[in-house]
This record gives sequence, structure tokens and C-alpha cells, in this order.
Amino acid sequence: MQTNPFSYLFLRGIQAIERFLSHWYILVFYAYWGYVTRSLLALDRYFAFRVTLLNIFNPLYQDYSFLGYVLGIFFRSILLFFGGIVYAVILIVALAIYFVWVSIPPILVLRIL
Amino acid sequence: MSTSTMKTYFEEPRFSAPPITRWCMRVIPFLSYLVLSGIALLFLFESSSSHLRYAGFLLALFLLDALFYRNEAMERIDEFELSKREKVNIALYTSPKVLYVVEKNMEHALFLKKDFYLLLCLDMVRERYIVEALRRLELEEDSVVIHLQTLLEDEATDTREDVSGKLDQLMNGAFTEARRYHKPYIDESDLFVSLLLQGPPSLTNFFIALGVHPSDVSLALLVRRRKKGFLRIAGIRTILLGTARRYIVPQRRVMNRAWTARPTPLLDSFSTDITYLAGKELMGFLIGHKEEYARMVQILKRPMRNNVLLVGEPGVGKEALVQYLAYQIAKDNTAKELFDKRIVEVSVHGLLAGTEASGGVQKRVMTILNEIRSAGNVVLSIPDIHHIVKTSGENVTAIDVLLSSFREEGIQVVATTYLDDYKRYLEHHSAFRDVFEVVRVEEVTENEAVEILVHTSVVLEAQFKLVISYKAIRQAVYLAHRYLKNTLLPSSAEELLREAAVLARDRKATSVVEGDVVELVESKIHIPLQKAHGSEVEQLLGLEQEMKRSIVGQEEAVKAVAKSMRSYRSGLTRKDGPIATFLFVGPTGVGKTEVAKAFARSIFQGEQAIIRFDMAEFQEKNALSRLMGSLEQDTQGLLTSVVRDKPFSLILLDEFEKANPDVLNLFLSIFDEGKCTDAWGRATDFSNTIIIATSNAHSKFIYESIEKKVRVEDMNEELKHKLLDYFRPELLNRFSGVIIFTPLSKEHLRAIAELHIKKLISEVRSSHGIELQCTAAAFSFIVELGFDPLFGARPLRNVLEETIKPLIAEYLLRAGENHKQYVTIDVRDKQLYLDVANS
Repeated sequence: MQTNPFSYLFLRGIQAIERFLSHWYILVFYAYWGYVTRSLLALDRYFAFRVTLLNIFNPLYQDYSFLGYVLGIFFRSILLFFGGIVYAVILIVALAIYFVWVSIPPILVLRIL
Repeated sequence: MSTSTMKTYFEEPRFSAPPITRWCMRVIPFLSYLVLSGIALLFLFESSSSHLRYAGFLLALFLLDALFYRNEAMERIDEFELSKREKVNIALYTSPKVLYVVEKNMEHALFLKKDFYLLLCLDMVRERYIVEALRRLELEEDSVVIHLQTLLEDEATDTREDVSGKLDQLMNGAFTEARRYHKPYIDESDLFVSLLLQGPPSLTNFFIALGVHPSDVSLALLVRRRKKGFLRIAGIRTILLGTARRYIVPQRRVMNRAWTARPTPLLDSFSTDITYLAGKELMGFLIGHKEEYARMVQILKRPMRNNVLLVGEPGVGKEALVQYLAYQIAKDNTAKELFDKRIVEVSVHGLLAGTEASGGVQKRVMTILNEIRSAGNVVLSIPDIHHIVKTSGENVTAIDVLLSSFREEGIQVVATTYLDDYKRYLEHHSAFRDVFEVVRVEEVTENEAVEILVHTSVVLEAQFKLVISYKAIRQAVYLAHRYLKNTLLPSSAEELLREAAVLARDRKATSVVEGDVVELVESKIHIPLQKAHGSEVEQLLGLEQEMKRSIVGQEEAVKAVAKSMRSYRSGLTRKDGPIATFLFVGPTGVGKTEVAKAFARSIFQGEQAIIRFDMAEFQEKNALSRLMGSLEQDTQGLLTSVVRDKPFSLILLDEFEKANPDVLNLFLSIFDEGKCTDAWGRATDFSNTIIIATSNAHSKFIYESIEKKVRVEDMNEELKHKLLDYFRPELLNRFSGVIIFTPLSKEHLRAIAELHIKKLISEVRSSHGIELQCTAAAFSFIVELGFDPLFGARPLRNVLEETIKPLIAEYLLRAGENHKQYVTIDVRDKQLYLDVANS
């Protein structure tokens, strides 16, 4: 069956727009959030948020005295607090950047109109 | 729906259009992008309307995206997405460049009426990346092009239907190739590999004849692709060259992340934190050993008896396994029982040495163990743990302390040892057996070793500034696996490749090719590995004539050994067996050993290459352990050790029938498999040996048959039957040939006497400058004296040794410096004497 060149070229044009949108929203989403997740995991090697949360009632350095337990809860809480802030800031900034990114095409379209 | 039921097809609408339309369909999108670029620039920089500037900006983003992804296919290969589809159009996953090259050659094939596959191949081999891959395979672009052009003339022409069918097949192959390497779309290398796999037999055969399989091309292309990104990985050189410990890394002793561990200051001063180095990506590269790794982790996860002893030959990858475990722990990619643990390497010598009093050692060991117990997150790694037992004479208390501690729940150990040392020091040590679970680390497969070496070669290329061909890598792995048994793969092949790279750099070569590796191995093991060429070919073809210079009669034996050598050097011998195995049967003194010696002189450049065993000495029960080594007596095997040292040799087993039946059984397996395993568990390869066993069994029968004028061919079957008195039928069947040596006639003996006397004349000339001669009468007398049908040529040799040589010796002593130049051996009154006066 012979191909109609006009419909082929029209389809190519539509596909090009589809690809642009797919790259802008889907490909960048995976790449960007992959990067953010990797960065957060790397950061977790220092903050150990989940591990600290699981060990919140364990004393530091196996000091099973009353003071050890108190200090454990105290220091772990501080770590969780600051760690939580750092994670939250990173997540908020990352979300904001992505939000700006996804908004660019619709904003441009709105401006054009 | 699984991908196996997924139907694939190739449909690119452009391909079915007429040529002019197709050209327009290709050019118009390109022109459109140019026009759109102009419009975008115009809107952005020349327009006063903000609406148009925003439109220009959006258009610019669209064009930049198109430019950035210009080489990508319409869709990316996503296995999950594919699994949901019933039908898949491969064209959507094909890069524009591949579509273009296919379209172009399809058009040419139809226009020129030529084979589509060959035209496509001819076009692709000129591409830069294919040229580079071909060079890695030691193929020259020009010669490949010339050959393809010749093939093109011979192949049948293609119709449109042919091309369409071929295209479908070709693109399906390329799609499979791209999915195999988890690529996002089909690129040119996938197309080229598919072309070699799907192409006409003449094309595939051409590459196979050059020693290149399509999968080799695939890997050679992979080297190129990986090369760029690979060298950028932090610490990759350190990982592959194994120099992490030489790195000056600040040994930061981190607490565990849960803040539950306690510090280990003394342990830290005696150890290296492997998890820390692995976390910095300075170690932890592993290919293969999946089963061993899974087993190791499974043991370490247990609550009790969770110590691992990795046992394996040098270079097999024990250390790499521990480092990989450390890497997985550092990346939180392991079982929860190992989460947040530290693998700390400590050497036995470091732990036990350095303190004069044994009490000091014990105190130190106790402190370290207490630290480990209280820390709760340490897995001790102890390389070469057999040293603990080796040094037990000096520090028995410290060892007891260590072993009893390893039984405890709080201390986990991953230790390594060599197979030899395990058998020698640890296997019988009950304390060790209780404490450790043994994991045998096997040699990686050749394919895995090639993959490892492909990565190592990238680093070596950068280090030595030369190119290492893929064929050189493959050959290094093959030869190291086959001949360099002191260390195992991959280390043996890595060392070989590194050595070849050093030699290439020293002679200012720009590449390491297959021949360099073969030459290097030849020089190490003295086995001819390269194809026979030049004078060697002539030597092989004239082997019988060469041997006949020193052998009289015994045509069949001479022919058999010569034939076996020619087959070996042509690569036609059985792969899993010695080069050849012969049983020479016949009376004493008929030349059985002489044939072996003559063969050794011709092929091995001397009789010293013969490994000779008098099997009469191996009749007792302990004969087998003498040949194969003994763990109890701590002895190496006489046979196995000598064959490992001289893998290319002639093994002569005299009086084979007298060997102990257990010894005969050992040779049964050697004849069959070409290898055996000694008492220490090491394999010895006999595939480059010729084994000649001699036997006097049923000599009387042979002698009587010859007397009765029975032909050798007729005697053969009956003798074989009679030999069953001595050998099991399966052993006899495994010989390449049972060759009967017939008794010597007087004519034979005359010829042998001539050979011996010539040899004697030559010896006397070279040692004393005397021209020795022998009268015809003396010669006949010598033959007469030396003729005894029952003992063959041996009495003749006795005449020479006990009558003629003493005469000459006596004369030389008497005459001193004043000896005559010409001396004649003569006979008078049945007495041999030296005639000096008439000379």
C-alpha cells in the first residue's frame, strides 16, 4: 500500500510535538526525580533518618544507663529534627524547581494567547 | 502478556513510497526545522510584540529538544511497556540514522540489482565506529571491503519482495540485539551485528574464516561504547588494578549510622576498613561468582555458625568477593542482618606478630576481640587464615582464644585460604570445621573472564597508551585457562595481558594483538601454539625420514607417531585427551624406546623432553600416591608435578604391564579426559603430551609368530586378545594405537651397527680429532657378535660398549698426546683390535 506523503508529513509534525511534550514532562520527570532520590539517599548516609527513627529509644553507643537512654532520645531527636528540616527543604526546593519546569510551556502558551 | 508472545514487525511508511516521494518525505521535515529556526530567531530578536517573543521562545525550546534528541528513535525500548503490547512496530524503536542507512542501501540494492545485505555491510564497514571495532578484531578495513566487493559480484540479485523480507528479518535481529544490551533504541552497532547473524552464509563464513564471530563484533563495539564513560568512574583504575590499599586514604573510622556501635581503636590500628574503601568506590568490582556470593550472604545472615571460609586457588577472586560484599553493604544493598555493618580486614601476621612475649599477643588479641564484641557491627575479614595454624607452634594460646571467640554470636568472620593450605592445615582441624562454613570459590568461566578483561583492558590502554585488540583479550583468557595453571582466571589472563602490554610498549608498538599474547605464552610454556609455518611445516612433513635416520625398521611405529604430531599441529587432535597414546609391544631391544627418543629429538629438540617412568617401580600399593602426591606424607606427585612443569612433553612408560592396577586405572582416565586431579585437588593437563607405553608382554608369542611367518596384521588381533591378560579391555581401547614391534633380522642389525659405528666415529673425531675407521671384516664380526634374535639390538650395543670403546680408551691412555690421526678397527683370530700402524 502506497503512503500518502502529506498525511505522513502531518503525522511527523504531530509526533514531533508529542515527543517534545513527552521529553519535557515524562523523560525529565524520571531523570530529575531519579537524581533527587539518589541525592537524598546519599545524604541519608550522614543523617540516617530512617535508622535513627527506628532506634529512637535505643541508647547511644550501648550505654544502657538511665542517662544513656535520655541522651539517646535527646540526640536522636535533634538529629531527626535537623535531618527532617534538611530533607524537607531539599524536597520543597526540588518540587518548586520541577513545578517551574512543568509550568514553562503552559505559561508560554498563555502569554502567547 | 509476556514478551515471548509479542509479535514484532517492521513498518516505516516512508519505505513503501516511490524514490522521489521518499526523498521529499525525508527532506521536507529537515527544511521545516530550518524554517522554524529562522522564525524562532526572528520572533525572539526582531519582533516588538511580546506575544511573538514568547512564541519564539517556545519554538526555540521545541527546536532545541528536537536537536538534542535528534539521534533517538520515536520511542524508547521499555521492557515493561513491551510486555503489555501484542504487536510492536520495530521502526518506532529504530534510530533515524539506522533508518536512513537501511533506506539508502535498500534503494541501491533495487537500483543496482545487487544483494541488499552485502551492500548494507559494504556501506557500514566504512563507518568510523565499525572500522574501530574491526581494528579491535585485527581486521583491516581495506581487505574487508575488497572481499565484500568480490562477494557482491557472486551473490544473486534481490527483488523488492526479497528486500522486504530481508529487512524484516534484519530489523528483528537488531531489535533483539538492542534489548539484549538494554539499549533505549536500535543503533548502528545492533544493525551491524544483526547483519552478520542474518546475512548470507558467504558473509558469515567470511568473518568466521577470519576468526571473528558475530558476538565478537558485538563485544568489540561494546568496548568502544563503554570506554569513554568508563574511565570517568571514580577509582576505576584502582578497582581494576587492585591498588586500593596503596591509595593514601584517610582511614576515617565512622560510627555506624544507628549510633549503636562502640569505637574499636586498637582494631582500627591493625586493620583496614574495607567497607569505607568500597563506599569510596575504590573497590567492589565483581563479575561472575553469583552462587558463591549468594551462599556467603546466606551464611552471614544466620544467627549461629555464621562464619565463612572462602576456599579457592590463587587469583580466583576470593578477595573480590569480600570487597563486593563490602560494596553492597556500603550501598545499603544487602540483607537486613548485614545492614550498617563494617567489614574490617586484619592480617594474621599483623595480629600475632610484633610483640615479643606471647602474653603480649594474647592481651592484644583479647582487647581486639572485646572491642569487636562491644562494637556489635564488625565483620572480620581474615585473608590467608591458614597462617593461624602455621604459626600455632609459637602462639598456641592466641589461636585458641581466636577460635573459641569465633564461635560466639557477637563475632563474625569471613576468612580466605588457598586450596592447598586448606587441605594441609585446616581440613583436619576440628576446631576450624566447627567454626567455619566452607564456600568453595570456583574459577570464573571464560566468558566471564573475557568480560572482566574487556573492562581491565580499558584501563590498561589508558595506562600504556596503546590499543588492546579484542582477539588478544579472548586469546589471553583461552591460553591462560588452558596453560597457565599456577593462578586461575581471571588473574592469570590479566597478568598475561598486562605483560603483553609491557612488551608491546617496550618495542614501541601501538597495539597488543593476538599474536603477541600467543608468542608470550609460547615463550613461557614451550608449547607450539601458533599455526605451523615455514621450516616447521617441512619438518612435520619429513618427520618419518628424519626419524629413520636413527631408527631401523619399525615403520608402523614411526608412521603412527609422525601422523599424530601432524594432526596435533594442524589442530585436528581430539580436544579432551592427550595428543596421542601408544602402546608399543614387542621383545626387548627391538627399538621401542629408541622410537620415542628419535621422536623427542625430532620434535622436542632433545631427549630431555622425555618424562620417563619405569613402571616396574610402581607395583606396590602406594604407587598411586607416589605418582599423584600425598596429603598425609606432604609430597607432590611425581607424574603430576613434572607434567605441570613441562606440559608439552613425551611421557614414556616403560614396562607398562608391570604397574599396579590402580596406576593403570589412573592412566585410563588420563587417556580418556586428558587430565587428572592430584591429591592436592589440582588439575593437571595432559592434552599437550604424547604418551608412549612400552611392554614386553607376550614377546614370545610375537617371536614365534614371526618365526612361523605370520604377518603382523594377522598377528595383531590375536595379540590384542592376549594382552587382556595384562590390561583391561577399556584401557587397551583407549590407546590411539597398539603397535607391534617385530624382532630384528640380521639385515636390520647390520643397519643398526652401521648407525652405531658412525656415531662412534663422529664422537671420537670431535673429542680427540681421530679419524676412526672400521674394516668390512671387523664390521661383519661385530654384527655376528651382536646378533641374538631374543634380545634384539641390545647385545650389539654391549659389543660396542664393552669391546670397542674399551679398546679405544686403552689406546688413548697409552698414546696420550702422541696418538695417530688414523685408527682402524679390525679383526684377527676372532678378536677385535685397533690397527694403528697401517692407518
